[in-house]
Amino acid sequence: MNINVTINGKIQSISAEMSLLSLLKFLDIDPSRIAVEYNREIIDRTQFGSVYLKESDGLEIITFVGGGNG
Amino acid sequence: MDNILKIAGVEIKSRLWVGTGKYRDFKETKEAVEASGAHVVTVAVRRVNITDHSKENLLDYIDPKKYIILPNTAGCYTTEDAIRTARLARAAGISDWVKLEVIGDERTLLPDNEALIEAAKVLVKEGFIVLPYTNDDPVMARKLEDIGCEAIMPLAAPIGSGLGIRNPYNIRIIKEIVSVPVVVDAGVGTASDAAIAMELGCDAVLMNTAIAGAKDPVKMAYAMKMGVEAGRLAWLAGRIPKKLYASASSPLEGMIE
Repeated sequence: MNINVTINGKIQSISAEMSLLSLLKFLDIDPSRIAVEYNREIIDRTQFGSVYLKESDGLEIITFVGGGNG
Repeated sequence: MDNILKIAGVEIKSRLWVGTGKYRDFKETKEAVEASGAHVVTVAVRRVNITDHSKENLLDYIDPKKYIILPNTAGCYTTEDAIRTARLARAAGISDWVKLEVIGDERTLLPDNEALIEAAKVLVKEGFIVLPYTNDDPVMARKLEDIGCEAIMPLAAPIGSGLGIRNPYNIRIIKEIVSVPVVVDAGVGTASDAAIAMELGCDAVLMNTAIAGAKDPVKMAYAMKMGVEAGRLAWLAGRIPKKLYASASSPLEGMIE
């Protein structure tokens, strides 16, 4: 069974009962230099394995990019 | 010869701080940052591109063990967005410093003072080392210091404008009335601008576009490094006062007759 979650503003269909950590693996994202907001709440990286995604969840996954001002 | 700049107890090895935006690629970013001699390097916080699988990350080129990474809230227009961005940046586990920007106007990218104060209050309370990007306004600078910001970062001119220091008198006043370090942030165009900022007594200068937008960014990075060093030395040396009339530097005695 699949569920729909919104990741960085885009709706994605993923398999149900996936943890945040397995989602990051599935997306091929190295968890070491990112931060995750799960339904508007920041998740500590030590908790990535224990947060399980459900239908209509919203995720923001950020990293650092080149930037200076503005 | 010079005292070491410290922010929140951390020794800063260079008075030139640089941004990492607008470069052609990460290789050029790395070369320019190295040429600048900077120790503090600012970065933006953005969504991971989940569909692009080129896995290179800026921090593969700018080693957080070597540099003090200063995440910024560039692009934020509200207190809420700036706070949210700062919290996410800290959660990424590299730094609890934040170059706090709350932009008030798209065309000039000037700061929104009210929103900045609000965001600074919240973030200082949450234990962030807050370095706010602000107007060249001494009253704002004092308010930000009173809140608990660890440095004040007044603009020289609008971001990316390259206009240089538009109000040197205000920058001097800011430097006089606050006791935390003053870091000129944004608006410098070339090495002499950086030197002027330092000659005014500022503790450091942060820039991005002036280096990244130059025809040869690596060369300009080195020029900026020297500009900052020259300006700082001149400040420490103490310049001569300006006079209306000449003052000969050769002796009057011993002239041939």
